[in-house]
Amino acid sequence: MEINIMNRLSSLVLTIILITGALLTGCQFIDGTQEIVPQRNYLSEVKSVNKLILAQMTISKMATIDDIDLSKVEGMKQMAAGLMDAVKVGDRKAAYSYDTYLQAYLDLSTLTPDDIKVDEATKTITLNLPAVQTEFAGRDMEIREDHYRVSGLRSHIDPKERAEIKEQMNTALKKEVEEKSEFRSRLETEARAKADTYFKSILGTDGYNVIVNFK
Amino acid sequence: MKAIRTIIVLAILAVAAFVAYKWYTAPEASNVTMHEAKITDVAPMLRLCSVEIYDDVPVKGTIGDRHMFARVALNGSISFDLDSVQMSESADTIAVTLPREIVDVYESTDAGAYQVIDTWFDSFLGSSNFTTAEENSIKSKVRDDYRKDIYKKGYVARARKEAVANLTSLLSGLTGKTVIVNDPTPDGTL
Repeated sequence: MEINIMNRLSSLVLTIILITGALLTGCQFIDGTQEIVPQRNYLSEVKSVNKLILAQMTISKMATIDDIDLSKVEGMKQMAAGLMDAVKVGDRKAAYSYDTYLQAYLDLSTLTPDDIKVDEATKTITLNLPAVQTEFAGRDMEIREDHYRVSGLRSHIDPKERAEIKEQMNTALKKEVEEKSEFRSRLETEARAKADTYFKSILGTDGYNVIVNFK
Repeated sequence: MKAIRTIIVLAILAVAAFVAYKWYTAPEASNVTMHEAKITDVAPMLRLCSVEIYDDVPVKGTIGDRHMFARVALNGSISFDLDSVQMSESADTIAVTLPREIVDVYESTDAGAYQVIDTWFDSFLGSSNFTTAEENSIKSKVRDDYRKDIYKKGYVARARKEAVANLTSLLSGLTGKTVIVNDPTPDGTL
């Protein structure tokens, strides 16, 4: 009787472990079909703009790959991954970086004849320019491999993994630019100075005093 | 006996649920360390941009018996350096010569802009891996080919035409003078 109960109990435990394992590892493949990851549609767009680009900032971002340090793990996933790394033979270390470009511009399509005022009495021209705007122009297609050391039985870092790292770097960089105002403010200051110099050089040729304002 | 069995089952279920909860709420197992972004350059410039391009293009590359297929979203722009523009001024007319176009092609910063879809090799034994230098050379070629396509598709000609109109409008609006913008190379210079 006791043996029968023990057998049934161990079967039950085994079933629970198997179900939990399936839930944790691969529930999306439970019907035997592979999950279809939706891809963004291919698209192409060519648009006319009227922008005056006044400054460009180059921002460099770096990421490093290394085994998880067991003394710094947080939570079960990192502990499991750290233990797995610890038993592997060899090292897997790399550092990658690339540049992203942030630019400041004026949208000249919003400039109207009312934005320029001439006072002949005081020989003064007042120009009210649109606000300086910033945007990401893009990033380098290439990635710099600043360091690479894969030894022993460790797997190489392949293009898929590099693309994933670049994606993580991009997300982190955009978050930093959003959170730290110094990125945009420094660029905007540079852009306003450039615009001020340019428009004063064009408008101040006939001895006029030129005042450049930004909306 | 039945009560003990029920308690044991419930205890096992509780432990399993606890383990599952801790697993799902634990931080991701990541071995990538992000370093702080650094400003390496801030360059003032004066560029009139008249056309912007956004495109999704396939990245296909073969080195020996290894192949790679990916997709990349590109940001392109066609602009003109106004600092180097040639201007001559007479009493009531300003003559301007449109400079050579600057065609920039960058990888987009949109999420998922670069995705490696497949890498494979033809031989029975071997590796389908591409080194960083190999992958970069494939991507550089894609960018160079795309830049040529921008000329072939007439985007540069369109950009130059629009730059002539935009520059005329800007300078005549600011100075009140007649502005003539000459374009010596309407199709651009590849």
